[in-house]
Amino acid sequence: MSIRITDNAQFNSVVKNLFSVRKEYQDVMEKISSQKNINKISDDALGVTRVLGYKQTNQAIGQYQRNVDNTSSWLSATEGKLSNANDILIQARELAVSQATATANADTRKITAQKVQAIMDEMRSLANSKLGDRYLFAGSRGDVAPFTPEEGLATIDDPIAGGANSYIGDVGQSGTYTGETNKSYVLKITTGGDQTAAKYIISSDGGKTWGDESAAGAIADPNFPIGDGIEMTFPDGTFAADDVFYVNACAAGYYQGNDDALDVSINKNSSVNYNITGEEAFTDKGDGKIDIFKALKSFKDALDNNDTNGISAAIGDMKTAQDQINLCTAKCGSRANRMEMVKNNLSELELNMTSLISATEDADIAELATTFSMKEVALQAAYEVASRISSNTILNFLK
Amino acid sequence: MSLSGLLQVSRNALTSYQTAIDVTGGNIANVSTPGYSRQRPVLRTTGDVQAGASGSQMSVEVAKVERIFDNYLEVQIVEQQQKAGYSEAESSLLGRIELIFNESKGAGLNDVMGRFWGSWDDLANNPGGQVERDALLSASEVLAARFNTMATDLEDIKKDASLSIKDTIFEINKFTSRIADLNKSIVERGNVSGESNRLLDERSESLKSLSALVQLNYVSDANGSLNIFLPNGKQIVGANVALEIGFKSDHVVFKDSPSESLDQVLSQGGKGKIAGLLNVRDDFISDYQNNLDDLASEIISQVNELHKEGFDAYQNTGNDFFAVPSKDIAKNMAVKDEIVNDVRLIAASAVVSSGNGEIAREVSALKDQITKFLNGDKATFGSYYGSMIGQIGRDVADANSNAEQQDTILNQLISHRDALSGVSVDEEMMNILKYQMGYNAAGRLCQTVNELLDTLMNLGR
Repeated sequence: MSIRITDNAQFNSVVKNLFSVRKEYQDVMEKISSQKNINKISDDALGVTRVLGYKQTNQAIGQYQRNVDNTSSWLSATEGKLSNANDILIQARELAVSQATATANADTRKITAQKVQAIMDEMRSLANSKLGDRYLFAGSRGDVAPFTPEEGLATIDDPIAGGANSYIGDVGQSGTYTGETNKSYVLKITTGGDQTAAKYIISSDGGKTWGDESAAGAIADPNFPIGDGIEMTFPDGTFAADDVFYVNACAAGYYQGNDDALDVSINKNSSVNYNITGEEAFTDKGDGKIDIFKALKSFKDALDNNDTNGISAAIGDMKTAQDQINLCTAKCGSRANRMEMVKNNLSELELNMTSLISATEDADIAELATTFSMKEVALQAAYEVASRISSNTILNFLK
Repeated sequence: MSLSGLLQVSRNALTSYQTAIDVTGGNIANVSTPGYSRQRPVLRTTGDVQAGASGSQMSVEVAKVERIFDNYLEVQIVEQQQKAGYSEAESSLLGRIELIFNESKGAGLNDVMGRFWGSWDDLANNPGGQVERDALLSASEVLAARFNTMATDLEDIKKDASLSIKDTIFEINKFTSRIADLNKSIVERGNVSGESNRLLDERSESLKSLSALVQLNYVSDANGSLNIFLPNGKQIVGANVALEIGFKSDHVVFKDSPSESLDQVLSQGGKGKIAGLLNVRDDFISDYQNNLDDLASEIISQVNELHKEGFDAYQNTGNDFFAVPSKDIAKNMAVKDEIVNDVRLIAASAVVSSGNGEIAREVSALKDQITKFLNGDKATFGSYYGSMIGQIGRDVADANSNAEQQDTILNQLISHRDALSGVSVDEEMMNILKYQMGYNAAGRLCQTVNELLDTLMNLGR
């Protein structure tokens, strides 16, 4: 028996086919108009996941590029200031050479002393330079200018209680700072309670690393030592865990900043130190060899006192100072080079990522246009068929 | 045989062919009625040849009106209808979820998350900067809001699914009670000569509509009643009684035992719209919600943990950066009020000096850190989200292609059914011609008998 083709079935199948052809037509149109291969995540789940990964990388690259740009401008500012410092050190050295000779006398030396004072002021203003509102040579300290006009003695600042502390009593400090470099001491309460119960930990590097927990009640002693000769006193009061107190202590000298290295992320899991601290550029602490301000001061004093030995010594000092500054300049230069390289790598990577995204996500318009005309023909054919449906029945022949 | 008997024959033939034309007319009228099974008059010879006597007395009658119907095909359609109902519900509901996670147009969570990490890096580059702090706050609020919206949207779809389930239950009850009513009428009328054909068609349509909604088994009993069972063997239609189901605190239940949830029973097997809705609501969406919550929760706890190690612009130790919600984490994710009110409380520094941005830098680097998530994935936040999106995309694509396939199979079965039970106008027209010819012939027979009678009457003149 032959298959019966019924009218309903014929209509249904024509309508179904019309729908499916239109759906394909619509899909191609959507791709062409959005210029994208993937318009819904179900279009290509694997592709979407890959594209998301590429986009994350791309976004991170954008951020690293911003970081690198920021760092580059910081480095070039630092380099500029250091080369100015070098220039004026050359001046100072020339002055030292000319005033060390026998042709100079007490009067010329007095006049030169004024020039050296001007050089010192100039040097201090260079060392206190800012980029935006950040000091270039202060380490991470931002509340005071890193270099003072006069040489200071070792100082211990008044302790500062954290604003969120629950302890509301006084805090006192005493003792003499014996530390080599400037430090921020932090005392953090770990176990709250009154003076006899409270326990604390101490950090000598501003809170990066912490010492062992104290015994209960250690805080009750007046003038109890927290390190490097610093003593603290809490006259009374009750503590709560996480109360913090910190004390900035400066070693003798001109420098008020710290030796904190500032890092910036330049790639996935890769960060670099970008700042030159005042300590390494201008003092004899840490990586530094010579305290430039002290050297200038003693040069000036030698000139004032007509002390030829002192003046001769200043020639060597200025050379050492120049070397120190140049070393820092070189550091900046190599970092700047690295930034340049990183920047190129990032741009290249960005280009790769962008083309990967495009390859996965973007539509191939030429191909789509061909498909589109194919689908259009198919759709027209389907319409043609639909218009003819049931135009041929036996009814046409029954008269 | 007598001449008047012959008149009787022609009368029978005339009424039989008229009935046949009536039935054919009915077929033509129902050419596009869905579920209509074409009917066929079964013509049967009546009377016997009486050998040796005065000839024979044969005539015709319509023994019954037969409904052309293949029970086996019907079983297949009911079965396929269940699968198609399931896939369609699943794919249309999942299609809505897909829109929530649409990343292809940009400004999705992926984008927002990237900007969030970037803002921390910007702050690291200038830890004292008010502008950078404000920007970070706004990026964090956007991130939290994005999580909130996505979680709320998922929840809304879940609620809509519950509403659809409720509607579906209403439909199911409508069909079961209709089938019970039809059972009653069919049993009362019987179907000796096709009296219940229309009711049978209607019942089988109702059964098909019902099977698109819920997974079921059915048997016809000796009386002609259709009995319908849920997969757990519970009878929902028995003869003329339908057992109503209801919806109580988001669970499907029998109205007479509302404490016993049928969710489990109905959602297994992947058949019926209600199973599709239950599955998407209780499995798919719940999974997505858990994943989203897990992602939000890990971001919150890891950022908070680092943030607490830092010092803010007032040189205090940091507190939580994000508030820690006790439940519905993604939905309730928010930056801590204290920080919203004062961005200087953002702890960017690792030490008590305002120029240090180490903590902010480390928070930003969290984006590359591998986290172990609750579902066992070890991934970065970004790749976890990526694989979550991939999973959703695959789920939707699978559901779509499944729905398409089931629909195709169903359509094939329906066209098979149409080939057998559907009406072909051509065929019916031919039948009309045939029956018309019979009718005309019977008319001529009557005329001839009339003439014979006349002849007979004139014999005596």
